[in-house]
Amino acid sequence: MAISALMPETILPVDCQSEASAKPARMDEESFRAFYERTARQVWAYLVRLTGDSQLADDLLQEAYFRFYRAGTQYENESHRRNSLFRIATNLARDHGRRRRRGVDVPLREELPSLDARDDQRTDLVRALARLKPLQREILWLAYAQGSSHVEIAEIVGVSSKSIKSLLFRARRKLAELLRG
Amino acid sequence: VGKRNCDRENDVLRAVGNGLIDEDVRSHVAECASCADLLHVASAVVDDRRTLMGRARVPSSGLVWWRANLRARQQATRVAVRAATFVQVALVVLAIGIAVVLAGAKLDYRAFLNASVASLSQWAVPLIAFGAWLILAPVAVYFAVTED
Repeated sequence: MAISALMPETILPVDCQSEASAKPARMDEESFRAFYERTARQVWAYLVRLTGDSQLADDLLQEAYFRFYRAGTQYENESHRRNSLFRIATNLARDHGRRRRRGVDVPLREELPSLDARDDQRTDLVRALARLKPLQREILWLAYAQGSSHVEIAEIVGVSSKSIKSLLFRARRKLAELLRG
Repeated sequence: VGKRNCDRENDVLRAVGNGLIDEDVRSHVAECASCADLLHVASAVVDDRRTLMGRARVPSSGLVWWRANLRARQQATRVAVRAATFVQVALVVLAIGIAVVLAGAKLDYRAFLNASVASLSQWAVPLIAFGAWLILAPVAVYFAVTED
């Protein structure tokens, strides 16, 4: 069951859900721009939490939409289109993480807490997320912030849908422990 | 070890999504470790997402569309130029091959070979130097332009 079905206000704009039965079509300017308006902030927030860097998220956001546009794939519905975009964003964030670990020409910017010193709870979350594995961050965000179903998460992160349940449980328990300090 | 997946997780998630945690959910969460974790984590993540999306300053859709188109055109141009260059090189090689075949039909091979060997010994040093330059020049350029 998609968690978005349980969290209608915070997860998906109404127009995303209403387009679920749209006909497959290559994106023209109008539909691309409308899709961008609906999803850009979601993707940006996701990238900020995956990379811990809002400036980098700005760059990766544009790269993600370029790759999405260039792919020119026809999608069955809005949900597939959105999952594809999140898969691209996930891979971009992972690539950046790998390059950073290899020390390849990637500027190391201020880490996760920089953006969010406003309140203690959010700062705690940011610090706790930074201590999780990238896959755990991805899964938790997709499940609880995006409201994606286990099948959708599996499609986005490239893990079998059967293992998502246990991965999500472990990630959630770990994050809860970190939040409790 | 707490229960891995509680049957009431959906109730908890629905409450988090609506921002209304009623007494029923609250009392369940007090007894269920799994749902307590879920409530804690999901509330924090949903709140964080809401705040981040409120702060997001993303470029306009028109700008992103324009940049995507521009980059796509540039890439298409690069691919076309590469293909054209390949075709040109192939045509030149083909022309040279045809010229050699046509010339070869009228050529006295033995005389040509003897003359070539004689001229080769005469031009050996310049040819070796030229060959070395052909190999070393790209290597030198590579090291000159590579940051590392």
